[in-house]
Amino acid sequence: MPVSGYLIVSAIIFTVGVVGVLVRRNPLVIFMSIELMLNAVNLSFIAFSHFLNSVDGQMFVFLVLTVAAAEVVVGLAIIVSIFRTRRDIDVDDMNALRG
Amino acid sequence: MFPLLSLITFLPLLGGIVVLFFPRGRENAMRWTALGFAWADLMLVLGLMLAYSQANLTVSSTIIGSAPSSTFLFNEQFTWISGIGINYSLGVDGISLLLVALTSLLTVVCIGASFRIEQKVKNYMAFMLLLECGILGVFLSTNLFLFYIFWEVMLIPAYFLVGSWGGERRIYAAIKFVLYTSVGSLLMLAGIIALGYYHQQAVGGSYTLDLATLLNGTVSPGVQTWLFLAFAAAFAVKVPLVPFHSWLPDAYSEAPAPVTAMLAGAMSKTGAYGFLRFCLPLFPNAVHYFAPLINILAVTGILYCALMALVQIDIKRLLAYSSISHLGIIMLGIFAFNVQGIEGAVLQMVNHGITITALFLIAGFIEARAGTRKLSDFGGLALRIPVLATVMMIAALSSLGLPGLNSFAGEFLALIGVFRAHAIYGVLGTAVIVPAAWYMIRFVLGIMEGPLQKEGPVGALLRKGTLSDINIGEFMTLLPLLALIFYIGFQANLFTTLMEPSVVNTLQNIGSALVH
Amino acid sequence: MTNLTLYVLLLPLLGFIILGLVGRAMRRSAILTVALGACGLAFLFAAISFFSMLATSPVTARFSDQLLYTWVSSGTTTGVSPLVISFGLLFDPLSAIMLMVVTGVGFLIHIYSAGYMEDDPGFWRFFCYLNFFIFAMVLLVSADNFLFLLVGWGLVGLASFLLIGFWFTRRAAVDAARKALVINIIGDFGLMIAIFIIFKHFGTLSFYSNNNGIGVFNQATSGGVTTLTITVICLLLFLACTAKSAQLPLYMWLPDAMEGPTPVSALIHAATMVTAGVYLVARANPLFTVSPTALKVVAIIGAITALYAATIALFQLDIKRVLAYSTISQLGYMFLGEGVQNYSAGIFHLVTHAFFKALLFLAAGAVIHALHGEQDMRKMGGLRYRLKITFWTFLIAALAISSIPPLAGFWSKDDILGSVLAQANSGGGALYYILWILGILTAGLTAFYMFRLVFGIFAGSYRGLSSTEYAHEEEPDHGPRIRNVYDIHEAPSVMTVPMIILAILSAIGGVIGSFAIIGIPRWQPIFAFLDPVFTNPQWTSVPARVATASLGLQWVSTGISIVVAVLGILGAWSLYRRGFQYKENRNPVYQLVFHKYYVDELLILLVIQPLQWIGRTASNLLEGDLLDGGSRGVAWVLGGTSALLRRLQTGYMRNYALAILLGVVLIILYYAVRG
Repeated sequence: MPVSGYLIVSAIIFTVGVVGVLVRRNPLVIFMSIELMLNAVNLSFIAFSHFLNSVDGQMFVFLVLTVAAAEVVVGLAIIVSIFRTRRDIDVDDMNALRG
Repeated sequence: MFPLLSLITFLPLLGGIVVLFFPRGRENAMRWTALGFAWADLMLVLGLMLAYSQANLTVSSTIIGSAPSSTFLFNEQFTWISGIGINYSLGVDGISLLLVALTSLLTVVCIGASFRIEQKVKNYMAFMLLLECGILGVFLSTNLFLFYIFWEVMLIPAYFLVGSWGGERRIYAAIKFVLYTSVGSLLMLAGIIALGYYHQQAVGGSYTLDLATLLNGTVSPGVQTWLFLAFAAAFAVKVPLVPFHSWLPDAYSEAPAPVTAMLAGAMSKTGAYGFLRFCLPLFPNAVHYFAPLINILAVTGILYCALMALVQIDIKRLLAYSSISHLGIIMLGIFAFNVQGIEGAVLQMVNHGITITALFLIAGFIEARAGTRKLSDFGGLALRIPVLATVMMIAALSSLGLPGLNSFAGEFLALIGVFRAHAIYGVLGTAVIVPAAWYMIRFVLGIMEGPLQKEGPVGALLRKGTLSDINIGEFMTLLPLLALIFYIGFQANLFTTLMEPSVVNTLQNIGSALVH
Repeated sequence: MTNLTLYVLLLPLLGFIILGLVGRAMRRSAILTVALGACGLAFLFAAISFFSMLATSPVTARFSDQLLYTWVSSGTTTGVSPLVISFGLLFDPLSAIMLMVVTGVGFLIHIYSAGYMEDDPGFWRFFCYLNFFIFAMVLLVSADNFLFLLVGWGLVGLASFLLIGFWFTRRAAVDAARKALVINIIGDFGLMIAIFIIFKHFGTLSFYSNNNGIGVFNQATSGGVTTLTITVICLLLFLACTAKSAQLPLYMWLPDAMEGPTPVSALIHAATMVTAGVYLVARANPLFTVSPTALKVVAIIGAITALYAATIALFQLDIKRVLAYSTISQLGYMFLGEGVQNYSAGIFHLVTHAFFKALLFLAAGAVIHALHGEQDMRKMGGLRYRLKITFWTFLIAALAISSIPPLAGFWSKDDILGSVLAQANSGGGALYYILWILGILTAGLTAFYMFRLVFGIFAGSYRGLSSTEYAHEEEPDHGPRIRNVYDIHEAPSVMTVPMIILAILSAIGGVIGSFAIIGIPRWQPIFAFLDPVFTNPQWTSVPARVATASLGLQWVSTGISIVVAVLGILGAWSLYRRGFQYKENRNPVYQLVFHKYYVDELLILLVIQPLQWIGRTASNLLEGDLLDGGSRGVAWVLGGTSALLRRLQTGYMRNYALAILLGVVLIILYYAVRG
């Protein structure tokens, strides 16, 4: 199977992720979309790793997984904290950082 | 070797950190601890002075006729970021020694005078000690990058001290102060980086920012011009030279008196010191090229600010303008490029530090009692507070350059040097003694003499009889300053001999480094 | 030669320090012991040194320069024009005479003050300042270099400032003190610039050669210093003299200085401090002698000031102000004498003037004391019978200042006028004839206004009872009101004894002068004593040359001067012998002189007000609008820009995500297009 197949799948998943981030209002869904994007990238890393016979790609995947886990921890903590104070987690209502 | 200079520089920082660990409610312990650390630092500096004056004898005997040599002693050098020439290097010579001594003395005095501060004592004391650390670092660094770091370290505590403990317009004053100084210092940072680059281009070798190495070769006059301007931007704001002084009256008048005293007494010297230590030997061609401009700005500042001081109604603004005016004489002395001028300028830095600190502290004592700074609110107070009146008169007489007191020694030496170099600037610079006498006497007489004030806040105080004379604590804070006012006036030779080899060395560097 | 100058200097300093630190807590007797003890011992030591000098010969041995410590040294390791200034005490005939006058008259006035200031709450402060003044004045006259001369010069100015403003709750006293200080600093400015030029051209500040090198006065003609340079130095030195010695154009502070206590007026503003300028010219004689131009300026300013001040003195009503203008006038004489190189005569007149002018002030003080602070001549009169000692001593002093032979003033003033005429006659030309005529005119005016004062105070009947219209409570002792003339009492003996001593000195002080005019040319002790300072090569590289007059010419000058003085006295007698009557006079010339030529008003209008206006305007426009406004303007522009830009920051997360996406797409497109 040529590498393009993996890449097409990866691109589709990535696009789904992007659209999810842009159109959904629930931060939990947005998080899941971000995870989709990260995993799309992971997919292409592994595909390239396999076709180029290099472990660098796989190494990066582990890095990405770690970062993603860390990010989710911090992000969920923020969301919980926001929910506790505002009883609502619609991202369109959060603009406290408006300039 | 024992890292004496590092200890001197960072002991205040340590003290500041220690103070932070005191629990709320132990304000007195914080005050005394801060004072203790300041004292300990002063003792170390006195030891350094003693050691330097012993060691110095051997240096001065070899100075005549030899090639420019370093008069830096107690050098410490550690590689820090080797790739870009950034070292941690400290050293002291006769010029910085006196300024270090001044700074540590003034810190003791100003912390001693700050016991009246009631709010956020912990932060206040920590910031005061951090300010001392920054100023000492500026005077002791012999690596330009380290110098820049300390230069910025000074700014942080100064900002908070003005902005949190100041008067009504303190935020405005603090922001103005920070903006003015940081614009200048960012230009200097660019200048420092560029200097290292051009020096490497001109001399070869590795990229370095160590002063000792940079002094070995000079960059081309065209480049010097730009580098000089970048450095001068930082220094001219700090001194300040007219017209870069607009931040000063606001900052000095809004800050609490001991902070103003630190800013005016110690921190303002860093600007003049920067010109003397870096601009003169590093950019000799540019310095000669720009000397007329600097001289004209200095003379303008001297006379213009004396005139401004004459019409101020706020006593701290009056002193602020007088401070700018006096620093003009120091600048003239430095740019006279002769021994008398520079020695007079350095001596005058010390003297001005002593005198203006005393004056600002006294103004603070008066403001604390009367709750006002308006000259016209006062009158005849000498009748009720004669000791404070006497002390104030002595400080004012010192400031106006009464022969026999300290400022006279410095101003005389500086001006005789200026006159030797350029008679016209000497005459114009000397002419300031007339308005200086006028505004200082207006200041003292307006508060202390004349008919007893019957109206306003002071009148109310006088009727109630609650106006108290200087107390023992306040007097003890001023005592070292008063003693120095008399001592330096009586005999300035000790100071001039201490700095002579370093000044001569600086001059030789200028002379030998000129690119023809 | 015994030289105790160091102790003469340190004793008053010690007294000052003791009184300054603990005087407040001391009893009156203790204060007097310290102050009078310090000053009296200083006088004693000065006298011992002086007489020991008299017994020393040859004259070149009458010179001592004690170097005590190095004040500052700068540039000694470079070898290029090093500056070394030592603190040294000079003791030579000129210093010796000045020390005698300063400590002697000073001591008498200390004694007098013990009575005069008895009830003042600032008793200790007064004596503290007086001792400080003596210290500063001793420093001034015994400094061996220009720098310490300047130190003494500044410190006597400070003492004068402190004592003028002694009663510091009075607006007038404070204003007068400030004026005195500022004008004196103008003089200090001149002195400082002169010192700078001297250092630049002579490379030293020492007067005479000592361990630090060759002195200025020993190389006044050598070393390639041009006469023009020396003239500039001399004129700047003389600028300092005009401020300190109240000559045109910087005399304005001295009349106002009368706001100080009367003993201060006697000591500082008549007998000693104001003569510092005369001393300086005499001390710097080698420089002045080189520069005929400077000497001419000195003589002209002296003569014009003498006449100018005498005219103002004619119509003043405040007795202390009359004496103040008279002091200015007499100082003019001294400069006139020095202007014709007769430095000895200038110093001689300084000495005799110290006697009689101190006496005049002390006697005036006794009158003011007796009248509980009254200084207005319109409210005096008829005091001859109530204040007998004061009357007689005042009369002697008035005769002395009017230069009636054989009193002290006669010998000294006529020596000056004689040498001016001699200078004119021996080729000086018209200028010196004019100066001589000015001097003679002044002599007549002096006699007139002095006797106007004598008759005004002592003749006729007492006018103080009539009304309180001119109430002028300047002095602090608000004693009981005077209900009739028998309430007026003579001062206590602690005040009259110094007056009597000064009266004796004013009467016979002339014996130290030259008796050449009465045919005894060998008797001229003060001239012989001072002569080396002006002619001996140890002191000067350029001996002064005084034009000598023939006996006949001297008698012409003297005769005319006596006649004019007698005419002046007769004029006063004919107008005021029945007592002084004040009449409003609308004559514009009278008004002009009465208002002191409106100089003070002009000064305020033309100098002070414009300066303050410029200052305030600059403070508002330059500082406020331009600089502060400029920095606020920069801040405003930056703030406005960021106010626009910050709208981009919506706070909605999805906007940011979209922006990131667009950014990524753009970057990818860029590389895609570029290939």
